[in-house]
Amino acid sequence: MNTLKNMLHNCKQAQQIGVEFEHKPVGFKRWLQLKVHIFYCSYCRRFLKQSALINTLLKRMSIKDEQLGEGTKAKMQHEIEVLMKQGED
Amino acid sequence: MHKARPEQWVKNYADMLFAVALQKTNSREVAEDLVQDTFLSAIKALENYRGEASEKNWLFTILNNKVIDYYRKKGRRQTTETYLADTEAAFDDSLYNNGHITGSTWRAGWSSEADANINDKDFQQVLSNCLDKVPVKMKPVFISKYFHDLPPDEICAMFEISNANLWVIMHRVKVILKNCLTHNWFSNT
Repeated sequence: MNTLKNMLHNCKQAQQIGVEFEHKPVGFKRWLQLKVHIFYCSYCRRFLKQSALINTLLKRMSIKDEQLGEGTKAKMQHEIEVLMKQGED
Repeated sequence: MHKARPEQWVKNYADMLFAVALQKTNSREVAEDLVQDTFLSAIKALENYRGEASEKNWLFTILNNKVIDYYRKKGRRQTTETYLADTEAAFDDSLYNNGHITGSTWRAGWSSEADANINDKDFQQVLSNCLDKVPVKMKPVFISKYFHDLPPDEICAMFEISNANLWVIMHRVKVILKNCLTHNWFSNT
C-alpha cells in the first residue's frame, strides 16, 4: 500500500525516472511506477512533454561555453607538437 | 594494447577534459590551465604509458590528479555530492513538498504557436541564456550528455559521480530550463 501511495504522490521521483527513461531503460518496476504516476498526474505528464521538447531543441543548438576557444586549442596543439619534436631529437 | 597519439589529443579530448575540469573547479581559467598541464604531463610521462588503459582514461586520470593537486593548494573542495545535498532543500522548497508538486510553476503549459517559432534566432538566444543560468556544478555534466553524446556510464566515470547523482542533475537542469523557457519564451508569444 505504501508503495502505491508513494507511486501516486511522489512527483519528484516520477519526474526523475521520466528524465532517465529518455536516455536509457529504467527497469520494469520503475517504468511501471512512472507510467502509473503520469496516468494520474497531468502536471508530470506536461513536464515530461516539455522535457522531450527541450531535448529536440537542444539537439539543434550548438554550444560554445563549455568548450575551449579555438585559439586556446591551437596553442595547446602547438605546444604538444613542439614537445614531441624535442622528444625525437 | 592502446597506442598514444598526442597529435590527436587536442582534437579528440580537449573539450571533454575541459568540461570535467570546469565542473570541478568552477573556473574557466583554472580549467584551461589544468587541461594544458594534463597534456604536458602526459607527454613527459609518455614512456610510462604502456597502453593498458585507453589513452582517454589515462588522460582523465592525469587530469583528476591535477584537480586533486589544485585543491591541495587551494583548500576545501566541494564535491558534486556535497553540492547536490547542500542545494537540495532550496530546490525542493520552491517546487515540491514531500516530493509532491507545489506552486503555480507546474501549471503553465506551452502554447503550440510558440512551438512553431522555435527555429527563430531569438529562441536560440533565449535557450542559450537559460542554459547560462544553470549552476556550473551541473551544466558541464548536462551538456556532455547532449553535445558530446556520451553514454551515461562514461559521463559518470569522467565526472566521478554516481549514477543516481547523474539523473538528479539531469532532472534538476531540465526543471531549471523548463521554468526559464516558460518565463522567457512560451508565456509571451
